[in-house]
Amino acid sequence: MGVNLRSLSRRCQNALAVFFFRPASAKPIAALRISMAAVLLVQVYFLREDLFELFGPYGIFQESVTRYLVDPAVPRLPWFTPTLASWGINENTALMATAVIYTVSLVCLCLGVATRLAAVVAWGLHWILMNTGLCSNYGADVYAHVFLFYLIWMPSGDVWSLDSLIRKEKKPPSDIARMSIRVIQLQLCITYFVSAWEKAAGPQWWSGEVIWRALTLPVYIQWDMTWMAHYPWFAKLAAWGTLVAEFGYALFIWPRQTRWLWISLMVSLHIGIIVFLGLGLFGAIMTCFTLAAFGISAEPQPFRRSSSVASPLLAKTPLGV
Amino acid sequence: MTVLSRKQGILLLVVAFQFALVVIGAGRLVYWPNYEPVGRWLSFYSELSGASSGYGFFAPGVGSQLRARFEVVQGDGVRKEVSIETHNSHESDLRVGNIIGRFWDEGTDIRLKRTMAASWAGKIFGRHPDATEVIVRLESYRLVSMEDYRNGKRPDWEKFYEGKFEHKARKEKLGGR
Repeated sequence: MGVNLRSLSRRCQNALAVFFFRPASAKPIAALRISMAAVLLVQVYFLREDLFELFGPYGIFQESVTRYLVDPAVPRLPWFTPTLASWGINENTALMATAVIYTVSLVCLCLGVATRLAAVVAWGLHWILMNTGLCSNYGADVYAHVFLFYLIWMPSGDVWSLDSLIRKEKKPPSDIARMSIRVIQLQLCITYFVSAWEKAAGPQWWSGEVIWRALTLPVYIQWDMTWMAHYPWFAKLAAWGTLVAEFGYALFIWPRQTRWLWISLMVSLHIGIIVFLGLGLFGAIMTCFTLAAFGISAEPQPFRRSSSVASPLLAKTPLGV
Repeated sequence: MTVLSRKQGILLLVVAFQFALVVIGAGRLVYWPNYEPVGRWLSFYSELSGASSGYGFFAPGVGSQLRARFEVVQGDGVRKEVSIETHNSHESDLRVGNIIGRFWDEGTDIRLKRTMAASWAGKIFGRHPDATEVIVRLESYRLVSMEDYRNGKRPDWEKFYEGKFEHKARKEKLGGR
């Protein structure tokens, strides 16, 4: 019995070690870093003219109202206003400086310059800006916040970065890179599963009415989709397809045989969101996440594999991811 | 005997802790402030790491939409309708739409709603120096089902809230002329 337990414990540990710590290339994390920073830079570009309207103390949602709605424990720009005022910096200058530093940090993150520091600054300022313009946030901001936080801890600058070019010495595949990739992958699986679970609780998703409502709601209208009322099966198919894609993500994204089918489904879903609902940045950032996490191989290059094959952790997993 | 190193074991524990918070946050399973004093720190950590985030986009269904319309009354009595969206980009207008949508989220808190409407009216006064009055109208979109649409019904906007705000200083200035 004792031997069996010991053997079981060893097998569990071995499985965990292979899944979480088999040395991997940092390419998927680098891809996530570059693509997410690029999408956030596009967002900055789109919001550049409305910075003060959306985040300023005298913007569309004024500070006098916002302070009743936010959690007082989270950092916001008005937190720093008294200190900055004592240095002669007013609220608008502080907001502009925050936006400029945030943009620079995203550029550095995208290029991989002082990558870790850039991730810390980008995450911190993104969080402060999110909390400052709280009422205007939506899904793209939520996901960016989560993944910027992860990038702080991940070796995303090990490859495809100016840091790695300057360093000249190539970083070998590492257990931390594998762990980081697993964190990103598991985060996506959890979020899609929860998203599908909450959707499935609503009758609109089973009748297909949700697709009709979304496509005909003025805020999302991109095309005249009223013809769909005469083909309700089409709306039902789209709703059920979304549920299948999101529920199945956690299961079918892992095996080699179904991975690209699921990547294609998710990319199609998010392109659909971009084209038919006009949620460009949300669709783009979600597409980047799935492509980076599951579409880019983390396996070390063949010439490296031969040199490190002695490690039992390099054994291929049945999932092959 | 051990396959995992100490460092790897600790890392796994950290990741397990993080994902436990992610699941709790996504499923809204625990209200942390009920578990003081640890709850306060877990709540703060969940906020800063994003573990408190919800992912129920378009769930359990798509509700209606709220739009804000603003009627500006100038000193000379001329009325014009203006919008609070800047139309500089779709992304920006989408965010302004989210801000307007907060009016709904505040449920029955009439005072807060009035404060919100006053804040938007203030914004419009700022953009239109000749305005002496701003009437804020919030309208909700009455969606129709696919079946109703086939039967000839059409969606429309219905009044949800209306508030009139005067710029007393400007009015007095005009009255004094």
